[in-house]
This record gives sequence, structure tokens and C-alpha cells, in this order.
Amino acid sequence: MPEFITKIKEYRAKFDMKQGDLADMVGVRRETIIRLEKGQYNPSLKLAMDIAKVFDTTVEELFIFNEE
Amino acid sequence: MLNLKDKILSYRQYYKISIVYSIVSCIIWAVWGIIDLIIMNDNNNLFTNIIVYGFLFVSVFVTLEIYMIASGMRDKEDELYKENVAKTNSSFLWFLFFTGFIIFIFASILTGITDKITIPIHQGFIGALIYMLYAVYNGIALHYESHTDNTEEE
Repeated sequence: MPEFITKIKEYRAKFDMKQGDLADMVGVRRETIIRLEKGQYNPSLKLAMDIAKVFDTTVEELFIFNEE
Repeated sequence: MLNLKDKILSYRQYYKISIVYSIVSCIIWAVWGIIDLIIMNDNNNLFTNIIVYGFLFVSVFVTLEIYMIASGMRDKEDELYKENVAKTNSSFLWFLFFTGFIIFIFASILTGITDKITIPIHQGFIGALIYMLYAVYNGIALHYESHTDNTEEE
């Protein structure tokens, strides 16, 4: 089970944005966004904040960590 | 015309180029070591020196130049790349320790045989060994990069 669940994919769809576009906006490569969306990569606080800023939301709204 | 400024190499492509560069450099240094040990001992004159050192200088310069251009065209250094580099460094250190341990064990067991073998320590062979290790390092990095998902967008 992934360490956390993200809503990045949903927000991307809402903003009609491709993985590559988001990657360019936050200064990472597309592979990083793919892993983030699958919950396979734990991002740095800066990256999480940057992504939240792009979607005009909060980190808590975007990332849901498993408590167990 | 190929515009080098806009061309971006993915990390997989970059590591593949690095492996080729390391192997070519390893061969160059090994060949130079052999030439220096065998030919130069018999024909140590100015003309031979110019040919051999000229070959070494030009080949090292050309390969390094190509490698530097490839390095400049690398993809951006993002977080995932740093994570892969950390894994590569850790695996490479284990490889070095493990190889060193195996060599030490075999050398200890086969002392009678290894005592009779003389390996010439020449700067060419040391250079070749360093590049061979660099090829291993890039191979490990390529392995981790290959496990990074880059599938098409859903």
C-alpha cells in the first residue's frame, strides 16, 4: 500500500494540465510526477508546496498520508 | 542542422553515453599502457614518442569533449534523480567493498600462485581500471534509471 495518496491527477484534470506541463512548472522531470501520482515517491516539502501553489490549494488537501 | 542548445538528453540516454565513454576511455588507456610497455621500451625515439603521446592526447581530448557536451545536455536535476544517485552511490560502494574482499580472499588462498604473477603497475593500466570502475558506476545508475517509470500519459 502506498505511503500516501495524492490528488494531483484529479487536480491536473481539473486544470487541464499534462504531467509534462506540471513537471516544467515545478522544475522536476515528468518521471517524478508519475511516481508522485502513484504514491511511490515521498516529495520534499518544497516540491509539495510548489505543486500546491500551482493548483492554488494546500499541501494537506493534495497529499493524504496513511496514519498506520 | 542539429541544435545542441535545445537538445535534452534523458538520464537513460546520458548513462548509456557515459558507459560507452568509460569503455572507450578504458580501452584507450589500456592500449596506451601496452604500447608504452612493449613498443616504447624497444623504440624509444622522438618520432615514436610523438606518435604515441599524440595518439593518447587526441583520443583523450576527443572523447572527453564529446562527454562534456553530453553532460551539458542532461535533463534537469530533479529530486528523483538525486534519489537515484544516492542509491547508485550506495550500491557502488558495496560493489567496491565486495570486489576488494573477493580479491583479498583469493589472493590469500592462492598465495603460492599469485606470488609468481607480476602485474605491471603502469599509469595506463591504472587509468583503464578507473574508467572500468566508472563504467560499472554508470551501469548501476542506468539500472536504477531503467526502473523509473516514464510511460506515456494516461
